[in-house]
Amino acid sequence: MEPTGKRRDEEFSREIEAHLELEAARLESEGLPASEARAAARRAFGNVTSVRERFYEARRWRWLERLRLDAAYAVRGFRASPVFTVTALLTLAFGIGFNTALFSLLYSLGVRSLPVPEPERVATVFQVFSGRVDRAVNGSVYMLAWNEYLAQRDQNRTFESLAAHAQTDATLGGERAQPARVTLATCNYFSTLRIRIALGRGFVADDCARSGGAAVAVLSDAFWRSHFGADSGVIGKVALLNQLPFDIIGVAEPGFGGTEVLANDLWIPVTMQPALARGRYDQLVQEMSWLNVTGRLRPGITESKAAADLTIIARQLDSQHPGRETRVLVQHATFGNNPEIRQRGGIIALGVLGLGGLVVLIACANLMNLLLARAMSRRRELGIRLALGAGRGRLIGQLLTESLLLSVAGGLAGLIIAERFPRFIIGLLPMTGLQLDLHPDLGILGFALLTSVLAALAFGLAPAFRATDLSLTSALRNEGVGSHGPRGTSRLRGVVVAVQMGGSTLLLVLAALFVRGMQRVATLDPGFATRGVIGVSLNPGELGYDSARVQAVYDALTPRLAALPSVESWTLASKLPFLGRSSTPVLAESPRAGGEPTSIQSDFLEVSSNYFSTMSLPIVRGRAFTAVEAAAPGDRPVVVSETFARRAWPDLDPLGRHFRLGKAAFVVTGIARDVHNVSLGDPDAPFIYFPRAASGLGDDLGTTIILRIGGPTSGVTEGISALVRQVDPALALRLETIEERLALVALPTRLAGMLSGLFGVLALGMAVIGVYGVVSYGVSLRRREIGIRLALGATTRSVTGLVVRQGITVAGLGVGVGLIVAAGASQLMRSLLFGLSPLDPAALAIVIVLLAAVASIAVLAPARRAARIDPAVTLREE
Amino acid sequence: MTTRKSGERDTLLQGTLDLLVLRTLRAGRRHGQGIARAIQQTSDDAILVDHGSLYPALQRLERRGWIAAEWGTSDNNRKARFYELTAAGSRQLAREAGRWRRLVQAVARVLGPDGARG
Repeated sequence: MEPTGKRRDEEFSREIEAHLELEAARLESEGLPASEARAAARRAFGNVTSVRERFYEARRWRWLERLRLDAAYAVRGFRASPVFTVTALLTLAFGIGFNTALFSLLYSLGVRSLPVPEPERVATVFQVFSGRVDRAVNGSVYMLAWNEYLAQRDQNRTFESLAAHAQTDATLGGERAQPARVTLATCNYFSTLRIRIALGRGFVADDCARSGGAAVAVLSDAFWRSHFGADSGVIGKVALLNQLPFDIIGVAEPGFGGTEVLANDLWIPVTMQPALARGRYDQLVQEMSWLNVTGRLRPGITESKAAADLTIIARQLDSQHPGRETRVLVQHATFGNNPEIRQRGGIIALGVLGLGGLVVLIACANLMNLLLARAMSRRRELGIRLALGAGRGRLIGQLLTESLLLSVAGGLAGLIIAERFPRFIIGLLPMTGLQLDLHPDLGILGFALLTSVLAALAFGLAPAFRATDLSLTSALRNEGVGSHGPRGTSRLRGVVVAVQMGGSTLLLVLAALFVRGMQRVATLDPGFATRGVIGVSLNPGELGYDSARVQAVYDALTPRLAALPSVESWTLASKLPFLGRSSTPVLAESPRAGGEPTSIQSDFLEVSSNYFSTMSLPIVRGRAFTAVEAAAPGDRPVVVSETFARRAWPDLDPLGRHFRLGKAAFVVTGIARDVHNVSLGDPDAPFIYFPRAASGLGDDLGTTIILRIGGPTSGVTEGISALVRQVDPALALRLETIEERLALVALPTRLAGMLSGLFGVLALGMAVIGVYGVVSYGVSLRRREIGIRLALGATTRSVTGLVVRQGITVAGLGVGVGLIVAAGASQLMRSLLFGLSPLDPAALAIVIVLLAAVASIAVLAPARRAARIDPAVTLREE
Repeated sequence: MTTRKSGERDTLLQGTLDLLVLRTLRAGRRHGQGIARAIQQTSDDAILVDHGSLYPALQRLERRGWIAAEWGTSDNNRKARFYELTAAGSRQLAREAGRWRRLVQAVARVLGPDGARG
């Protein structure tokens, strides 16, 4: 056993004592007097204290004690310079805090386990297809169809239990109809996830019997509290979902809001899907991607092993789909596992973490500048310590300890920002009930700590080396000019300031681009009317009305709406443009007689015949279909987009040509101009305008009454809701203008603009102070030189020029590099710019003018001071 | 016993002290002061061990497991810490001694047969 600390010190002292006695005894035996022998032994030994010190230094845990001493010393130093300390801490808290905040958003979405017991073995299942794929999609193509889920559930050997669910919106009936989030879940959902049912019971296998299923519902704890007042007698009561009665059988354990990122209100058996849809569509028979599959792996089974197992089963299903190949993905379960989210998220994550990293980098540059300045003012202190025998390594260690201490303290303070800031961002998002767990856990703390340590090295290393690189005499004489230290330091500070200028340039260019992008959303012409367009959506289908009654609702409502004084015209469509994507494959007749038909994946809307005139959407060839044609038997008339026509029948007249969708045949009567129905800034891929209810894709496409309003839309909404209540008070009404829709489309751009603008302005502020500091310092170093120049007849102009050149070089270098990086970075942000060029000249010009103006101020002030130097005074100073 | 002037004594090459300590301990266990005296005597007072460097060296050797130590009583009845060569220490001694001899021969070859004249 290694004796520890104190005891070893004592033992070592005893040993030396014994040595001295033995040596004295030997010398005595050789004839020296006792007193002299003792002194001689000591002389022969040399410096006892230094030997003890060397013994102490060789101890293994010495560094820890040294760290403690250094930390104590650093704290005393910080107390002595509170302004520096507070500035440094704020900079770090800000930098590390924002970086950690951005990280924790991504982390809670894509890394953190689902909020279920023993989440380690819970995994999600998605499918990736290659080759020929034509299947219906409700959600995302990576989700499973019902038959695929059943095959996987029954044949796999790697999961203890495999559950499926899909979240949907439904109308919760009662006094006032209101929307609720409902999850259709397999009856093993709760048992697979090991979620306790706090009150009543969960689902049993019988609830999911194929024919009809049981109309039962489990409430989330939060929903039970907010809507049922935490009434323990709720079991057995009835909840009306889409006017359909469901018996409430249980309340899930507190804190569980489902396995989707939007907190869930009620769970019902998955087999209730056709009933909830009021029989309009049955997703249990269709081959449609709509189910999220989540399972609990058997102990010891890895995700990749399970994926191999499930892929074999999927390949058996592939045999019914020639040309298709399915790969199954099994991933540790998080909220954001869908490959669609992962792909899009990857780019966003790169941007977000890049932004966070940039913020930390700029904070580091700022701190490095502060530390370099501080090192200059501490030259005397460090010089004295060097003169008293402190080793350089020891001093560097001590200075790094200071940096580390600052950084970790700043990082801890930053955790407050890291927890608050994401909430602020989430508050800006249009959806409610995001259940992202943002609490700092080991992952987030580790990230913050790692950032802090890396930051400490980034901003502390160079100043520490620089500060201890002293010529003793000059340091002690407190001399600046001539010694090698300050010159090198001012060059280093120049580089640091250039980095700051570069970083702020990058952020400001991005901010300017995003602002221009937002402007573009406001002014961009998608090709049809956007001003004064209101979409009125009702839910008669969800209420279980039959088609005659639904028709009656619209027949009663539309003339009244059209009679509102401000309404200029109206039409019907399956939905407003920009409201999600509906897409289907169609088979277009071959351009050559007798050729194979070509399959074209096309986006579509179902519209009334007057849609084109109401929306001011130009028909470039042919004409819109008429209501009479649309209702007539035989081939249905359609309007297709220019791109569709080009894709299907290149170089041929598309009018009168046919395509098929399922059993129905369609004939093209008109070609509409290519517009932006799906995504603003990107012209549509092939697009079809079907007559209403003609696509055969189901009534679930819905109906939106589109009103063109003459004046402002704000005053009209009251009148519309009054009319709807008059026609049928059970109807839940949703009003949305295209302009609101566009604001939502522009939201990511607005967020990105706000973030980069906020960070950019702060960064610029720091950079300007940096430029000012470096140039001022340069002037103070060259006072004598400037004095001599002036004395020898240099004009104030040429002296000013001298100083300005130095500042402009530093700032210009940073701005130049920043612009180059910004040009690259903005390419990645294309999707947020709505077709704006990533090198938009206006945005670049604004930023360059701003930077030039601000940099000039920072440079000119010290330059004027230089020009006012009195040679008589400076020359006398030395 | 004559004492030479300190100027005539040779300072030790780096790392040589370890070798000498190990060699000295091959003869049996000794305390620190004994080791210093033994080296001095064996070298005919050509090498004076700096007592101040001896103890850190002992500590280093002990940590590497080449020597072991325990408290005991000296011939003249004083308490002292006695050091002993371990098996690993013996092997290290053999290795180091071999290297040292090769080095000495190599240096001798470079200096030539009549190096004293140079």
